[in-house]
Parts: sequence; C-alpha cells; structure tokens
Amino acid sequence: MNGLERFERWAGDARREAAPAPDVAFAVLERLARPEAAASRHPALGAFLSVGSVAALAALGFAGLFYGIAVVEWQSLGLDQLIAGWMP
Amino acid sequence: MEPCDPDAGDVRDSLSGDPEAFARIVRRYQAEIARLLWRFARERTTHEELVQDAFVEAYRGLRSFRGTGRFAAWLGRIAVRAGYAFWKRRARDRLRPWGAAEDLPESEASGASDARSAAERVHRLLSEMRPRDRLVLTLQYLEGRTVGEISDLSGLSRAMVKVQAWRARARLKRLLEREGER
Repeated sequence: MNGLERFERWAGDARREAAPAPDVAFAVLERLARPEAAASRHPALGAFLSVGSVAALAALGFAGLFYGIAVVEWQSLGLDQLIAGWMP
Repeated sequence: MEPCDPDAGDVRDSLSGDPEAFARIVRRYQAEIARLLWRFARERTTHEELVQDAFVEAYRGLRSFRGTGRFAAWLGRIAVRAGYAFWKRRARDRLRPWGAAEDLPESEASGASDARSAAERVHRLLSEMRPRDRLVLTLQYLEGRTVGEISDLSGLSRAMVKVQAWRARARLKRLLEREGER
C-alpha cells in the first residue's frame, strides 16, 4: 500500500469520527445584538454612521480652518486691539 | 424554497427583525455546521467560535439568500468559507491550524478511538499544506464531496477544483513519502 492509499484509508476512518455539537444559539444572538453587528446588519444605518462620522470630521476641520483664518485676519487688521480699547 | 419549508418563514421573520426566528435556524443547523467545521478547527473553543462566526456571517448575508436553492447548502458554503478564512489567518500568523489531542471530543462508540487517531493523522498531515490545497483535499477525502460540490462550496470553478486537487494530491504524495522516510 503506497502513501496515498494509506492516507485514503485514514481519511475513510476519520469520516466516522464524532464531532462536538455545541449549542451556539444564545452566543450567536448575543453577538448579533452588539452595536457593530447592528450597523453591519442594517447597511443603510452602517452607511449613515460612516458618512455621518466623515461629515462630522470634515465639519470640525473646516471650523478649525475658518477659526484660524479669522483670528489671524482679526489680529493682522488690529481689530482685536481696537475692540480691547473699547472694553471697560 | 418550498412554501411549507420551515426555513422560508424563519428567513423572512429574521429579516423582519425577529431574533427568535434566527435562533430557530441556528438550532436546526448547528449540529451539521459544527460537524463540517470540525474538519477546519479541532480545538473545542476555536471550533465553537468558528461555528458562531459562520452563523453570524449567515445572518449578515441573509438578504443575499434568494431562496432558489436549499438553505442548508447556502449555509454550508458560508461555513466552508469561514473555515477557509480561518486557515488563511492561521497560515498568515504561522500558528498550528489544528488542536491538541486532549481537546478532542469523547465518544463511547466502538471504533471511535480508531476514527479519532485516523482523524488526528489526517489533520496533522493536511495542516502541513497550503490552505487551498488543504481545502480541496479536506472536502474530497474527509467530506467525500464531488468536484461539482467542492466547486459550489469553495467558489472555485470546476476546472480549477480539478487542477487544484491534482496538484494537492501530488504535494500530499511527496509529503507522505517524506513522512515515511522519518
């Protein structure tokens, strides 16, 4: 009997091996109830969340940029000094 | 699916957000999926996680089930792909893709120890092979699947399955010769 024939015989025996049969229903439902699973279960929600987070980051970036420009401009025109002079 | 098919109603109810309907699907098929995935992971904890992964993936892809074929076959494809992805992760991380002997299940049936030791030998040999070779050989020798079934389960074309099986057998033969020399 060559190597491959021996392997085929072992494989035939291995087919009869008993496999464990865990009860996974509860664990599966628990995993599906997690928020990340809920997002992937509802593609529209997932897309909304991902688009929403990108939009929020972009808005924050633009706000920072505008604030920076406004402060620099404000100071270069001397308006901050002017307003400080009016303040009591 | 047939109108009286219990899967049809449970798939529909699962998609409507009824978790108990999906739990019924899990309970109906978990033994079959666990038996199939025992070919992929032989350590109890990993095996159980893999069975869970297969059902979680099935739930996520439930909308893609068109109801034209058997639900069990569709689920089997997902399980095989989950098992194959597991082997690929293990190969990438260079971990042993099979469990220790003490993790094997107990069985009272006569001849169970022969089957177990044969399975141990087979899995140890196959774990030395590349994931794709191992997939084709596992489905062919341990599951007794035909070329058409392997193609359906793995997503490879029939021609590719034949080529892959031929190459994998040649590599296995060399591996067995090396084993015999030791």
